[in-house]
Amino acid sequence: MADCNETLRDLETFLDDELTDESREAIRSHLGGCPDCLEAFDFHAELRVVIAEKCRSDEMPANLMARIEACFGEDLLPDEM
Amino acid sequence: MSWWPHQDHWSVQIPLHTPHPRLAALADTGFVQLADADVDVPADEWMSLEYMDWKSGGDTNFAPLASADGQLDCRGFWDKGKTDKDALWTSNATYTPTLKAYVDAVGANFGRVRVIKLEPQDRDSAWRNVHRDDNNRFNPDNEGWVVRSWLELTDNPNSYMLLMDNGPDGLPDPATEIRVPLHRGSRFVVDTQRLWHVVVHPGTRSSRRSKAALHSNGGSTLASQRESDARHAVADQQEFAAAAMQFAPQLYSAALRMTHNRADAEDLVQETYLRGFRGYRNFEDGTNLRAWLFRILTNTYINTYRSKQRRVTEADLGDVDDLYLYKGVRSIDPATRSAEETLFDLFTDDEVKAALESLPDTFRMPVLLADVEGFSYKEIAEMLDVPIGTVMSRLHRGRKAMQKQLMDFAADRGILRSADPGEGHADG
Repeated sequence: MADCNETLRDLETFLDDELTDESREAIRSHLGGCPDCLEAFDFHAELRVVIAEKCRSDEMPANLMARIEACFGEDLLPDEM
Repeated sequence: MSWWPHQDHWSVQIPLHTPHPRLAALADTGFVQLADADVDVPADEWMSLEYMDWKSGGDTNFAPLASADGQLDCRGFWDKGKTDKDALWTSNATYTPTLKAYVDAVGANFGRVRVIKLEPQDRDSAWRNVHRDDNNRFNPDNEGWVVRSWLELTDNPNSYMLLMDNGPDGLPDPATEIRVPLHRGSRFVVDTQRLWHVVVHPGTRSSRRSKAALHSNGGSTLASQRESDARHAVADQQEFAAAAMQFAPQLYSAALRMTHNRADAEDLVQETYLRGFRGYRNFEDGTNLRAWLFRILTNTYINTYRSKQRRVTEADLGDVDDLYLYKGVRSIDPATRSAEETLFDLFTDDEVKAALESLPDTFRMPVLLADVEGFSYKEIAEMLDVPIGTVMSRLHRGRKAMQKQLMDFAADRGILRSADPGEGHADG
């Protein structure tokens, strides 16, 4: 079983879901028996969610959709100059 | 001119070499200056026209004199399945009999004809609009190559049309630059599909210019097969537009994180959709449309904005412990943090956005694409055109720098003590 240092080293890759099946299982089994590491993983997993939600909270300007849709109807970009 | 079109500029996709018969006079430079026009177009004729608002920027207004179906419509012919020929006069044409007679007198099959009103712009701003036209879309191979002609209505001694031919890389070649003067009566024919072109007009406001886009050759009705191909393409394009629109809010948020300001973010998103719309044939059905759009967004951003920035290396980022923020948050005095306060409430939206935006581009892009947009290492590597290992190391460094910034915000508000590096559990 992986130790704490090995587990924490793979924290990002684990949360990115980019580990091999084998490595992922090793991390899971360590987390099952190590509340300290589990807390650190939970914190970073939650941080990901917080960052994603807060960085996507911008309200789109009302006219932007219309601007884009208007472009779809036209065939040349800055056109004609 | 610091900005320069890149390989992914939509114009690069427009065909150059086709079997269409072409005018020998344009073979050399793609441009011919004609004798100045002796027609005097009374100002009240072009002033009384109905000008339409036209997309990107408020710099240009068009008054359509002839369009695909005779409607006052700036749209071209292609979305109606027509090539840019066989135009019908619009209601505007009745107000300008002089121009109408001028166009008719050329005796060619003509497509779009319009009076263009161009607001002044400096050369650098104008240059960003340089492009080539897709004049011959749907034009049968055995019919004449469609070119454009221009007649200047007002006197602009300082203005010119900037033309450049293609270099071996398909981008404008500065060695081929031609400046066509735009004094009153200036007349010329340009192969705008071949030559990159833009008008540089630093002059007085509200000058008006007219460009009549004429065909050099007689046209005929479209072959029916071409017509149905065209309609099919339009249907696909509309389908693409409908599918792509759902991602606009995500693209806008990401564009804001990249550009830091709303005006640039809006332009960036609009440009992304335009490129996507134009290049939708390159999109393989069944692949990830969202990833494809983000790739265009990322490339457009990098090519448009990043040249202004100094390259940043990992050494420029301050380094902190891997668990820096985690340890800091754990160290919060319970007296100042209520039991139910979550990480979500600990930082404001603005702080999280600012922390991400504080990262140099090199690190911000992977963090944005991974942590906000959830793309895989492989997808990010393709979008940024770097190896996967580079994506991973930039993510690692960028995330830590972002956490440091968040920590600083919290410390500024007096919530956090500075993290005690010795406090972690994971030392053994």
